[in-house]
Amino acid sequence: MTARAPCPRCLRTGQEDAELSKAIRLYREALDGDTRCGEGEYSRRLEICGDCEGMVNATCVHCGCYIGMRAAVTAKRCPHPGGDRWRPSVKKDTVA
Amino acid sequence: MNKFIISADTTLSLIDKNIYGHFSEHLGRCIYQGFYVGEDSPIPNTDGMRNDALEALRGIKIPVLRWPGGCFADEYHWTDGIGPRQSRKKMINTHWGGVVEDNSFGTHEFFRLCELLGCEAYICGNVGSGTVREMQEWVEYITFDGVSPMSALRTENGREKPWRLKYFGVGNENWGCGGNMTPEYYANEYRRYATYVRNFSGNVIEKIACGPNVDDCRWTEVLMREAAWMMDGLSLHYYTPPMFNRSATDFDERTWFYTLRETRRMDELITRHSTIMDKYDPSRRVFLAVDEWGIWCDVEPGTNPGFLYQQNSLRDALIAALNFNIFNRHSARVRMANIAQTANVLQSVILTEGDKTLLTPTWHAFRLYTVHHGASLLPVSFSSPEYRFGDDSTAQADICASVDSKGELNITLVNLDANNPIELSGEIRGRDYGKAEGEVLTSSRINDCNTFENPETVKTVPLEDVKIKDGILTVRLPSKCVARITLS
Repeated sequence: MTARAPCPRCLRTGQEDAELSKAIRLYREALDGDTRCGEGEYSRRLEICGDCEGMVNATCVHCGCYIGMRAAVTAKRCPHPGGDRWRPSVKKDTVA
Repeated sequence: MNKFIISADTTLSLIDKNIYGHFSEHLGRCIYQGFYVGEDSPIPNTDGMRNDALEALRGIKIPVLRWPGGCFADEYHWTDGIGPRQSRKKMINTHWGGVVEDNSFGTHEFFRLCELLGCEAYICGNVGSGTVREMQEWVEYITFDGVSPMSALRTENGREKPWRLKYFGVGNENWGCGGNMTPEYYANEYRRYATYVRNFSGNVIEKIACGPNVDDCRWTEVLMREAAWMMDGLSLHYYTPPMFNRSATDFDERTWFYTLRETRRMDELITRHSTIMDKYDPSRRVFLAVDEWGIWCDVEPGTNPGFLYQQNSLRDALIAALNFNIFNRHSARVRMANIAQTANVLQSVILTEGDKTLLTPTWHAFRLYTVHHGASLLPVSFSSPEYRFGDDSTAQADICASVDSKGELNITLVNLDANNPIELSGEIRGRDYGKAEGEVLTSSRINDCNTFENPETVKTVPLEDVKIKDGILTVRLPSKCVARITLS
């Protein structure tokens, strides 16, 4: 059984937004190998964003990006004003 | 050498500082994140307003702020945005981005923001989906200093004293998102709604009617004929379209050339609408408020398209400067303009990302032009050489001059040519000046911009090649630049 891709709007309900999912997939595919985040890191980032109060309607309110697109770029950081939540060294419970 | 003449002893119209005004809508991250982050945010703030944004806007002496829209205004019900924040209505912003609007920024927060910025408030009321009573009560809530249900409600919400409200827009884009009205219908609606936008407690409101979209001269004709006697201002909206390529940063000289040339259409539009206004209002009592302008590009890749978030390049600074010079030259009629929009939306002066803020090239253009705030326009005689691209051309340089209350003469100049500098020689008649100094804004590439990684790629530097001797000013402007020169 294959795990279902998370919904790009809420990142976890499993009810996909087909149009946005396609846009995110195409966006990821267009990124060069080095630029594009690996699958494991990508999933980790989305999981963190899924628990963040800054995610509204698939969008990060701190930068305006679709989370599924921003998380796909290796060099991008999490813009949370309390600290980069994607950084492995920063635990979520240590930032405001 | 290209020559120009400035008559320093012949002042024309006063350049209203409100020409350098701003527009901020509940759209994307303009109000929320751009200005308002809430008191509990880790971002340093004053009563919820981010300090870095306040500092940036004070740096360009923001004179007036239009709020809450835009299209949002004609679906905004002001009572949703007062009272305890936790009990304010949460709604979907149907116009922009489909995100939740929690109304945590409302009337009290807007006036606090204006107070912190030291600017005038310009509120745009809801004609499209609101009632006359709703509009009347909003004005009463804001300005009435006596015993009334609305002043009691304001006091209950923590504000005993009324605020000062100088400008009130009676609807927004009522030819489109504000109700899709005909000019005849809107003129009648304007008269009805404006009747109840009353002056209370010594507060005098200047009422601004919804004006034309771009070149809709019939709208201007009908509004002026039917309702000029009840208005103080008439709005005009014109956005510069990026030509051939809508990216904010990825464009070539062809797009640069034609986009800058298209920017100059603002002059033609103001001239045409002003001519109609002159017919009904020859004394120019009614002002033209270009209360939405700027370049409208595609959003940045990867961002929510409903947020209208675009980068801002050197090209945007030149677009702003060309528009400023046009507004200044029309300042007898144009007495307000509001760039769309202040933060994170369209042609912004600041961009934010989390706790970071950057000043865009447009911010730098605004700062260079603060010298014209409230100054007197001077006549400039100048025939510019042409900037050619293929078979087409446009004037290579643009010059505007004013004299301020201290007697200093300020000149703002734009060199549109992407590749070639220009040498200018100016004869200053009527007054003697012994010192010339200036600043210039340019960069190595036409599409350079400031990013969160490199926030100072595009910035001003002192203008080296400027001097004045025996009443003759000589200056060499680099290619693709905006400059400010002060003579004292």
